[in-house]
Amino acid sequence: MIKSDEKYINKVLSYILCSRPLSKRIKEDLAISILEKRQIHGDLSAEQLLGKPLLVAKEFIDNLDLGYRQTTRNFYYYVSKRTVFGVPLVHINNRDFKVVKGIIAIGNISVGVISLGGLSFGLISFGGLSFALLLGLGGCAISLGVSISAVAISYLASIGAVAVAKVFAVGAVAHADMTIGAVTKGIVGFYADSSNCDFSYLLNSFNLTEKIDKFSSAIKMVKGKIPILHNLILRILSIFNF
Amino acid sequence: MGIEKQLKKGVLDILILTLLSKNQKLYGYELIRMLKNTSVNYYSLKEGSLYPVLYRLEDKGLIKNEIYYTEGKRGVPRKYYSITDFGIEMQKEYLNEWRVFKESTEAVLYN
Repeated sequence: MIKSDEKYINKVLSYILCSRPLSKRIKEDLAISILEKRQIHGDLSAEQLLGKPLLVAKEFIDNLDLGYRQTTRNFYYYVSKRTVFGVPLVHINNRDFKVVKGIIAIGNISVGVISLGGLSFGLISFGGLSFALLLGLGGCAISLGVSISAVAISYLASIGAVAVAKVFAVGAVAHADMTIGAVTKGIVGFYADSSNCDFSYLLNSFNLTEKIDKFSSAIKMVKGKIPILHNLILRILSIFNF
Repeated sequence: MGIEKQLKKGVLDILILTLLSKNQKLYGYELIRMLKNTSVNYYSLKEGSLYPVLYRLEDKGLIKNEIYYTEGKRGVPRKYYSITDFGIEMQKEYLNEWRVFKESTEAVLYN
């Protein structure tokens, strides 16, 4: 099938809400129809031969009693044949609000190891509202590990306009044991505007090495030792110290 | 306007089945053209109207399809439809039902 014909047919199908087997049937028949008509009428485009995609779709919808989509968004649906422990390797669906489940899941509501969606749940999750075990990104991200988003909430580390975490937070407003931001709250904070920390330091007064030292000594002083997760953050920060 | 659309929709199955019963095999566009010519342009079907009928008839086992490729270097696929034995049986039954429907309806309309 030539690319322009495929694009036309996909456009027709984007208006039709139907099962995958029916969609495949319609796709095959439209492709053959185009070729049949092109043999007789000459090298015209698919739209010139069959008509505007929306009108073609409407005929199918009316005659097959299918749902008619009001929007002209491009919809995509794909489920991989390959599965991992019964879960599709890849599952993509942005046609409706059914939960999309897969190792890689993409949809309006998605659940997966790697998940991307309006509402997203996963080990690594990207979404308008994302919930993650390891890494959450998006508009609002909530994670056990790391969150990076406008509103970032996590246990380990948060980076965002509003960043809240147990261990480490960086943001305009940052709340954690160790913080860097305009407004900070926690055990130790490097602030630009104001701070409500046990140990507060002006942001630009120290280089990264000094910040790491201040973090370590403050945490040690308050907690008696540097907990594993705090130590992990300090090690990661020191990687950036070059 | 009015009820023409619904009336046409109601008879398409029997029309397509009848055309296929009179011809060994026909492909999609051939069906559309034959229906249009035979009805003197009254039935002017588009793909969105033809294929749902074909799907219905196929799913009931009344017709079947086979894809052939036209001759030449770049053979073009053509899906040919033909009536099954069960389809021939049902077409006769539908034709009887049509006669009864036509006579009964006209009896009401014109008496």
